[in-house]
Amino acid sequence: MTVAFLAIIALSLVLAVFSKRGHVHQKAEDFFVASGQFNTVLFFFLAVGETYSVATILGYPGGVYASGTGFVTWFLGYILLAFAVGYFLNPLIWRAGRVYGAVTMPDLFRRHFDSRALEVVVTSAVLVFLVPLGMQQFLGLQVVLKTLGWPMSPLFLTCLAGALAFTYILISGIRASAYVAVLKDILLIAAILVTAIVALQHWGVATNAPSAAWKHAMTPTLKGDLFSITTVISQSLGFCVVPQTCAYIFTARSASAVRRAQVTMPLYMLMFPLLTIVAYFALLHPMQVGSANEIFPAVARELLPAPVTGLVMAGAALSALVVLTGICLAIGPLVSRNLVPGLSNDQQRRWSQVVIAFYLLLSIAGAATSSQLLVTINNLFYFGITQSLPGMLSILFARRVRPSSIIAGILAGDLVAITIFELGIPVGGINPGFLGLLVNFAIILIARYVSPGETRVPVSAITRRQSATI
Amino acid sequence: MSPFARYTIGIAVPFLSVIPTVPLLGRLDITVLGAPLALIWLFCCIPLTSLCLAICWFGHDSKLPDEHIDADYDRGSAP
Repeated sequence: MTVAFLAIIALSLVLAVFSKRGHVHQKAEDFFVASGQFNTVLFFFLAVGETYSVATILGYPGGVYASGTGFVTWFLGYILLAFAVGYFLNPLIWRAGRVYGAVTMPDLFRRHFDSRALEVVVTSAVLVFLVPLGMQQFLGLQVVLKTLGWPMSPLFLTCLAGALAFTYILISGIRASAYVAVLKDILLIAAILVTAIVALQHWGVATNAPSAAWKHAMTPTLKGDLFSITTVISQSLGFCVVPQTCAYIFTARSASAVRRAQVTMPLYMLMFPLLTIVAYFALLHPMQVGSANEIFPAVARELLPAPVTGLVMAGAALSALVVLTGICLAIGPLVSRNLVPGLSNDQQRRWSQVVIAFYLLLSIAGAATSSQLLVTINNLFYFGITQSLPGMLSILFARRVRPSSIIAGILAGDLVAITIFELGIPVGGINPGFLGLLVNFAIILIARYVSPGETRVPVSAITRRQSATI
Repeated sequence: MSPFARYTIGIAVPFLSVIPTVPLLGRLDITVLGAPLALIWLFCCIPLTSLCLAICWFGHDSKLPDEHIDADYDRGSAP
């Protein structure tokens, strides 16, 4: 198992080095968004590589095991609909990125609204909510590394994983992430397919019965329905303003490259029925697990030969590492380009690497002291991140929105979402992020009609000829 | 393909397929191969969404000239 695992990790490093070929002296834009040169295939692999994190392979079966299919509805629903929304919005975000020379999402806000204050607020709001996402990947890595049974402390192993992610980044930034994502995606699909098929072969007679609590969680309630519906709506719409999403959109060569990839992206989700089979297998057969997040590795270890389990674990580990590098490459320029003004192109790249190293250490420390269910962190992340959506829609479609109203909307939206979540205020099951988003939209719409700002050309109205002169 | 048809097929059909799954199919006590009907329907929505987007692509967007815009990344960073 260990040999197979280490062989895949070594192969990923070879791919990362290969990705640097022809790009030895990288400028900041090449390091972060590959200078917008990725074709449809690389864009596709990077996009799905960044979308399906360790929360997918560990968190999804863990969620089904712990909460039943009520959880499936919103988890699958929001990702699936995000691809449909992305088909229409992502090419416009790509156009905005090109027109404004953007490497990060806040670049768009600063250039479109000519507002440094808005850039700082968007950057700060995004940074706060990105922190737990890195922790989520390390929590998943801890589960994977525990399965390998190495006689080392979990903290030491996660530090090694953090060093590996940092090595990918140092080698060639987003290019390494994209090339490793190709290996990760192929391995992940194969791992899930093999585990599910073997689980079906060993199904036999179920010797376990779902607990009464699990069956109760399956019973539909109005509160549960409201949570699912509002989560699907807010997270599918908010998916396009996730900083890593914007970063990989900016790597695409053309608008058509983005659209073509969006068409095929939902098909990658066909792994979810297979993951559901794995979760049901664990539910109906006796299995020793420490937490729900350990379901997938536990089934793989139980049913597969050790070398194949090693490959499956390598796929899971790479899924965490690729997403981690994506988050890091989104965070680095957010600080060195958007928070700290006036750095040269080369300084931006070097300062980003310092920020990324600090972020990795912070996430490792967070993971060592937390054991939250992976999908809970996922929700918390979206509560805050989706609040940039009204501002992004203003960039794409609106003519007379003031930057101050977008700032007020983001702050109010974040405040509402976090207050409801942290204080446990009863709102009938409605997703706190959704309520924050409603408040956010209301503020911007009211401000738009009470005190409209100066006229700006929305990105959707910019023609190809105009884009050359902006 | 008209813009109305494009948005209907690409956005409305996927959303109307997924969202009502929660309050309607989730309450039916029907299983297919031991799995709840809502779950099976949701899995069917995966190729359906891809098909809807493929119709939008081949019926409209693939016929438009592609956009290639050169970016000035130094202008995008804070001064």
